[in-house]
Amino acid sequence: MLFMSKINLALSVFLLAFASFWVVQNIYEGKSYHEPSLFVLLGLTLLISAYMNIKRFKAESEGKAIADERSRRVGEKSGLFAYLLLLGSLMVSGLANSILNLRLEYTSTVYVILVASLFSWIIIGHYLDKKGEV
Amino acid sequence: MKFRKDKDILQFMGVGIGMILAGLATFKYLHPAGMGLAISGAVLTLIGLLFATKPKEILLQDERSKRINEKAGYYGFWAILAIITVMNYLNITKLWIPTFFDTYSIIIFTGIYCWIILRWHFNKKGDTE
Repeated sequence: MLFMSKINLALSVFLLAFASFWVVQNIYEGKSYHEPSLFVLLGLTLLISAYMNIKRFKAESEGKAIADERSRRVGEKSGLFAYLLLLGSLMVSGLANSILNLRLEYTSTVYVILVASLFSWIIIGHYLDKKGEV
Repeated sequence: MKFRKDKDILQFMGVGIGMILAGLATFKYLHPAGMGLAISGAVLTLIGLLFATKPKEILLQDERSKRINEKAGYYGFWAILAIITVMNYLNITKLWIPTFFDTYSIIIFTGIYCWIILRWHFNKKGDTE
């Protein structure tokens, strides 16, 4: 499995390099770069997952457990809080948009909410992990 | 009839009454949509009054239902993020340009229904400790 993950890592680096070259070429030629950017995202996702898998297999071979029951529980609990925060912030922005006539656009709200909810998930997970009652 | 006057009930009723006041102020000075806020505040206050007559133990969740809520919320969170990502990609490639209210309604309804369905699923599945 470790060997397969290393092959995955090498393939994702190759895909990332190829897709980045394609994006730069399209930008240089003035063409649309949205299609190759999907391959960049795919390459990045594969690269990160292969790296995490290699770390996990190495740690497991040394007898260390990474995702035990407690860390899983912390992730789920912080996910619930982040979910409620995401829904709450969307409801407040929708209400404020209709009451105060802010004329909010799709991009100006959803990107902010997406980044805020992802960071709140990470920060709440860290807080619950430190708090130690989960 | 005996009403409980502990911190939880007072906080709950305080939020409900605050929502009524904020909704009435919004209705009078800003926008008619404030009436919705006032009505939901009134419903919250009524629910608070109803639960004030019950003992506190009736509201305590057991460990299994707490775990089911957390697990369903976690998967609901990732479902919402996946939907936002797909909508972003459609927006970038100009296949579909969503307005604010398209996004708002799709995300909120998907999130809420996903949570409800996942709770039902984890409850039926039965291997959540």
